[in-house]
Formats: sequence, structure tokens, C-alpha cells
Amino acid sequence: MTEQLDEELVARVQQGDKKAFDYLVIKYQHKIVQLVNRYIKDPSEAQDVAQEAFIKAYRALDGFRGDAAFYTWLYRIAINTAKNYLVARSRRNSNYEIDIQDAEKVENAPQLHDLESPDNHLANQQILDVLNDAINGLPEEMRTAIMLREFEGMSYEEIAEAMDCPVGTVRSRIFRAREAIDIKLTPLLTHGDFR
Amino acid sequence: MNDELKQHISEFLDDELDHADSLKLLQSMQKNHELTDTLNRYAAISHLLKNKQHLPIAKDFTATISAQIEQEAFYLIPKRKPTKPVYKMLALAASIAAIAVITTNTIKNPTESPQLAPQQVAQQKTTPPAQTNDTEQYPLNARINDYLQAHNNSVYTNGQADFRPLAKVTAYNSQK
Repeated sequence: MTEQLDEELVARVQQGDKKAFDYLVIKYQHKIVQLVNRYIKDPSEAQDVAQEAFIKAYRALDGFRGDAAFYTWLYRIAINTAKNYLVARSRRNSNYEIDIQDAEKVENAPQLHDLESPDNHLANQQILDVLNDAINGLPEEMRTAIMLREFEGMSYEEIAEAMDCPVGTVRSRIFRAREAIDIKLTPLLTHGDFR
Repeated sequence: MNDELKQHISEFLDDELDHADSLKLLQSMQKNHELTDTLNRYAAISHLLKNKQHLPIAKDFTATISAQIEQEAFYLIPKRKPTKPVYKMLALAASIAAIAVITTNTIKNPTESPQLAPQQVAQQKTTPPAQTNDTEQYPLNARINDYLQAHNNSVYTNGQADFRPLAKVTAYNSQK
């Protein structure tokens, strides 16, 4: 489903429709930022690198022939951009001694790159506390639905089967769980935003 | 923003929204940034649940990329295929061959002077055809000059040959 949409959007970009590339950015921005953030802990830097990755992807899209899925291709560009950024930064600043091999290890040990300030750490802990409260305050069926989705990675159909309810009900439960959490977190996230 | 739209955003995040609705949602998101913010907040919640870390996305994330891409005008517009040099060479050769054939014919058949100047056409009307050799009375250089004059655009506007276009004058001459 998602690959078909990507193929259509990529074809449109290749024909000169820049708006279609905006759609791809909207669709994948959070995934790419999260991916880059595994390598570059600072959220602001991670976003700059993610943006650079998208621009590189746009420039290279003319040569994309669809041998792999678009996201797989974009994923590789993002990882290479992040690694190159780390290498360039380590050259600029001798305090960061990171090379490609180190960058590879980061994915498995994100805490090594945790450069967060104590303030940020505290804010993050506050957000986690509110999140836990919000989840605990959810009705049982909503909590189960969102847990199966987020932690087990189950599809809506699988969740429907597991919970013995229609897929439409699963759609609604997951949405309402997210919405309930969002309402509780929004005041904190607005203040905690770094831009 | 209504709940149906928000539910679509939630489904879109999980890749559970169908193709047509996904495209429609993306179009709406590009126009209404509130929808994109909602998607990013839902994505942040998802990330927070899995990684215990809050990772916000800047509101101008897409706009920044879009602005930068806008500067790269026509970058992805399909490139025009350059004309093959073979065709250019063939066209040039054909033109040269055509000129050579026309020139040769003109020189070899002095009696046929299809494109005489209007003055000469008028002269030929009044003067009876000469019995002597044409090439002696009408040398090659003069004929070339006449030929060039006949191709001068001024022939159409000089008021001679009854304002007949050159093609008509030529046709008249060749019938003769």
C-alpha cells in the first residue's frame, strides 16, 4: 500500500512535480529524524542532517529506478549523511573522535552519544512521567490496542484478531489512545520544543 | 480539525490508510500545517513509548526543504535528448547535394533559364528568339548575375513584370 503510493509520488517528482516531494518529506520526516537521531543525539543537529539527507535524496532521485523500495533507498542516504556528518565533525573538533566504525556502533549503544544537558534530561523525565500517567489512565481496551501496536508492531488486522473485535474498532481505539496521550503531553511538548 | 481527519492521521502513521485517502491526506497536510503538526505529535508519542526519549520535529522542517529545493529550479525536469549528429550531417549533405544538382542543371542547360529577371522576361516577349548560339550572346557571368538578381526580394516590389510573383514569371518562362 505504502510502496504503491511512494512509487506514484517518486514518478511525479521525476516528472518535475516538486510538490510531490513535499509529500514524501511529510510522510517520512519523523522516521528519518528518528533514524539520524540514533547517530546524532542532539535533536537540532539531527534535524539539520535529516534535512540535508532529504535534499540529497531529491538531487539523486532522477537516478532512482525503483530497484529497491523508496524508503530503503532514503534510509541508506540518511545513514550515509549522518556518518559523513560525524566524520566531518570529528575532523573539525578533536574532542569528538568518531569514525565510520564508531558511527556503526552507535546504533547499538545510543547512550554513548547522549550529550543531553541535565535540563534536557529533567524535561525528558517529566515528559515520561506524564506519558506513563496518561497510559495508566486509558481504558483497558485502548491501552491494550496501542501497546500491541507500538510495542509488538502488530497490524490492525492482527490486533483485531487478538482482541476479538472488528478492525474499525481497532482503528478507533488506537486513535483515541493517541489523542488522550497527546492532550496530556501537548502543554509539555510545546514548552520543550527546541525551536 | 475533526476527529475523522485525526483518525486518518493516526492510521497513516501506522501505514493502515488506503492509497487514495493517504494521497488526499498528504495534499491536505501540505496546505494545513496543523495536520502535519498532529502527525508529528503522534509520531513523537510513538517514539517516546518505544525509546523513552522525546524527539520533537521543527514546525518548519518541510518548509525549509521545500524552499531549498525551490532554488534548484528545473533540476528534475526530464532532459531533452540531444539531436544526433548523424542527422545533422545527413541534412547538411542533402542540402549540398541539392545545391550542386540545381547549379549543374542551370549551367548545363543554358536554353532553360527558368528564373530570369522580370526585365529579361519582358525583353523576351518583344524580341524574337535569336538564331545564333545563346552562350555567345548571353555569357555565363551575365546569366549568374541575372539569376541572383531574380532571387532578390526587390523583384516583388519594383513595379515591374505586372507585379507578378517570381513563381508566375518563372512558370511563364518555362512554358515558353
